[in-house]
Amino acid sequence: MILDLARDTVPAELNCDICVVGAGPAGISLSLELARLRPDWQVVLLEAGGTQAADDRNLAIYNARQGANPYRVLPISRRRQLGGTTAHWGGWSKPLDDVDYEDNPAWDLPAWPFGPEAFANGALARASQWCEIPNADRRVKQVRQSHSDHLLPLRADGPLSEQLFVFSRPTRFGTRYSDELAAQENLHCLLHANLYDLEWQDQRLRVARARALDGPSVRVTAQQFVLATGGLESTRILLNMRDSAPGTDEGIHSPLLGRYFADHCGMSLGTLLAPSELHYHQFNDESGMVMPVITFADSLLRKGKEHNHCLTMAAVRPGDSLLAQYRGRGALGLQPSNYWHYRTQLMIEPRPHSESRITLTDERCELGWRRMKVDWRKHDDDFSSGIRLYETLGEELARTGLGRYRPVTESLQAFQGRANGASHHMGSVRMAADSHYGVVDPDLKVFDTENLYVASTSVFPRYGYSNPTLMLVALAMRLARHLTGKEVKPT
Amino acid sequence: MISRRRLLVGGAVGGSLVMTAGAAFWWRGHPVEGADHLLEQLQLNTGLGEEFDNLLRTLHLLTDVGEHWLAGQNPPPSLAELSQLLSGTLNMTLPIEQALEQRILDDFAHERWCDLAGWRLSETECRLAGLRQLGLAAYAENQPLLAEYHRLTTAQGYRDGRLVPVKYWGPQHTEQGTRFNEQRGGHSAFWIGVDNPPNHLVMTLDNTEMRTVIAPGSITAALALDFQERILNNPGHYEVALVDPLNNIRQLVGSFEVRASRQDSEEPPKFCEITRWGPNRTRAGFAENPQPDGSMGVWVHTRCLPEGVRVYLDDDRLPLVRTDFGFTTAIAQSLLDFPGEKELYLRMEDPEQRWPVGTIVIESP
Repeated sequence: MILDLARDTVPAELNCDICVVGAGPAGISLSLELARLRPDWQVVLLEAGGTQAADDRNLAIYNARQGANPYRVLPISRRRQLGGTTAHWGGWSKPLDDVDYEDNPAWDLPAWPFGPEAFANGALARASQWCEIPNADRRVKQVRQSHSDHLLPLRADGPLSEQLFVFSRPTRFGTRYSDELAAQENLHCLLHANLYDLEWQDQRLRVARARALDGPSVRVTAQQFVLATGGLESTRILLNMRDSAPGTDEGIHSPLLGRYFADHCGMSLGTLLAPSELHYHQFNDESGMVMPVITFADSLLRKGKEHNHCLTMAAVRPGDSLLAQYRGRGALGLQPSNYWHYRTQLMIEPRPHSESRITLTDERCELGWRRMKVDWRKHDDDFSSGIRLYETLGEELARTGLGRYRPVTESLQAFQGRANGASHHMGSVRMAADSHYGVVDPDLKVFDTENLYVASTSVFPRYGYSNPTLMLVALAMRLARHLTGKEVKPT
Repeated sequence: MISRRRLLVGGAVGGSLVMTAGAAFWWRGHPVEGADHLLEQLQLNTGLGEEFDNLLRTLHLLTDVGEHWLAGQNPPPSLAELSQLLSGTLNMTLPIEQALEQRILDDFAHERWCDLAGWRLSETECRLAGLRQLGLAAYAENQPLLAEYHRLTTAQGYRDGRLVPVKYWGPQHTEQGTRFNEQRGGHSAFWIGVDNPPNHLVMTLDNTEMRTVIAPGSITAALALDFQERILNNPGHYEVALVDPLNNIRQLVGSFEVRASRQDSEEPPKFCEITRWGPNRTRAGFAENPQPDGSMGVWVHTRCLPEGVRVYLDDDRLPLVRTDFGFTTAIAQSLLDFPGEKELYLRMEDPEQRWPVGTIVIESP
């Protein structure tokens, strides 16, 4: 059922088996999955917002300071609303590439503590259902079979490869699943329930307190707690817990907590001349909407020099381009074709950066939590590697008679300066097999606690270029299996 | 035309991208008809033989490259020097077009580059372009031919052609001052019934592009508000057309009539009118009018802007920067990830008031 703490009568005390904090895509899918897998359990889902976009007072709870490098998307990164940022997401979905799970030998931190097989037993398929992706099994090889005229003829042993995005409707979790939340009898979804206090007993979190900004509070006692807030807020809450949580240097008290904050950088790169009607952008094939992207080949990525970025291409008018009249002529080393100009768009995989940090300030929000400071930093090689992907493509086109390119002349510093985030808050609550390298273990349990889990993009230890929502929901499904001991299966 | 056999050879020269029989790209042929005879009349003598000169005459597409390259040469080479340079690098036992192709691909493989106006070209490509310019400049009688060729191929902008079979379209008329097929934000809109249109077509009215949405069975397009005001207030006939901006082809669809009316249906504005704004369309995943940080810059012209007003895109508040013409804002690219429409509006909170700016259409790329 759904109750609004600001309006409805809610018991002051709730006892449950699991308390989930945050009703975004992870919180909603996890809570419903838990409640269905274990009808004998009681699940409480606390959501700080309501069903509509948050007002200024609610959004002010998120106010944060920024470091020297502006993180411009911060004001639109979070929604404080049932469904979280799925209220405005674009539905871009993709499992991580295999190489994303693997350690990059040039980096100083391990990647994921497990491989893609961890999601093969139903978690990813179930997540695709939650995200309503009609063609989640579609792979780029299948698209190439039916659309080879619209993709570049990449050689299997060359430096470049392709991957495929698929798309959610995009599902607005808050509206799509509100009826199911309301109908689930062993689930209490409380709106306008702002978490403001926690009570520990040794290593166990016992009680969470939440309140409406101008209304009553509720005291939730649970056997297990899951923080399913966004990447920034999960980090902020954990950092605030340091005042009350027991322990010394692991989990909540780990020096890694708050470090390695990352976001994908999307940026426009140069212009290419390439055969007409290439489809490295969103389009509808027979399975639904898809988007092939160009990446480095796995063999190159595994050597550690490059990051796993992706490139998309959009045809643009040549305007006054020097090559506006170019077309396929052997005398120019260009294969027969019409040629178009394409603007390229790069999605950068950032290398984990220890000084890219979320810390707390002394200022407190209306709920009493200390506010945070976001100091977003990037490595130079995030950008130099991204530029190499673009220039590798350009060189391949030129060498094989399939086009020309404009080399990047902008400095790395200039690139860094105009980098903007994609609102994918990752890395600041890293997952690792060993507490030396992470804050949560492979089951998402915070090290050195007995019953506190984190289902948030902040646990991603390596970032790839894939938009994280699908994998976040897959992690939530994996957590549902862990907590209930029951298999999560596609319906 | 290069044969299939030579196409495969050419594709395999450079390395990692290979053209396979199944992946041949669509070849539409020469895009300009009726002007090639002018090129055949050009006077040219490079000293490299008739076959070479005949080929060079047809490479009009190298004109801009040649001009730029020569402008950067100090001192500029002579025709004889360039001819010698080129002949020394080409395998003249091959047919000349094949020899050039081989050399240019080899240039790229061995980093013999020529960076020009931001583009990375091959050394041979630039020299060839320069040679053509010098060779043509040697004959004064070439100039009127080249001017006529330029006029025929570029001055006309779009050339008429057939893009898609139109099954029906509308509306075909309205009354003066009366919006037609009105959409969200007050935009009038046209529709065209057509099967599976290419997704880069654009509908125009009176040679002005409209924001166009392509669907499997239709093309729809809405008028920008300032443009709509001009059209609706001026009775007459206006051409509706489809254009392919990437191939410079235009297909006339029909004539839209604005019929004169004595009635003035305009209502006095309730707030300062948004007189112009834009851009009002972009493609999913790509920001139109991209700003340095990748966001989409939007400018809005209005005579007044109350204190405390905010600008929103659907539920997302955007930054607002006041200017002497109104204001500007920026839409983060992550809000433009998916095709659809989003409302841009101004909002005051106390009391709650909203003023529409317009609809931003996010098209499939």
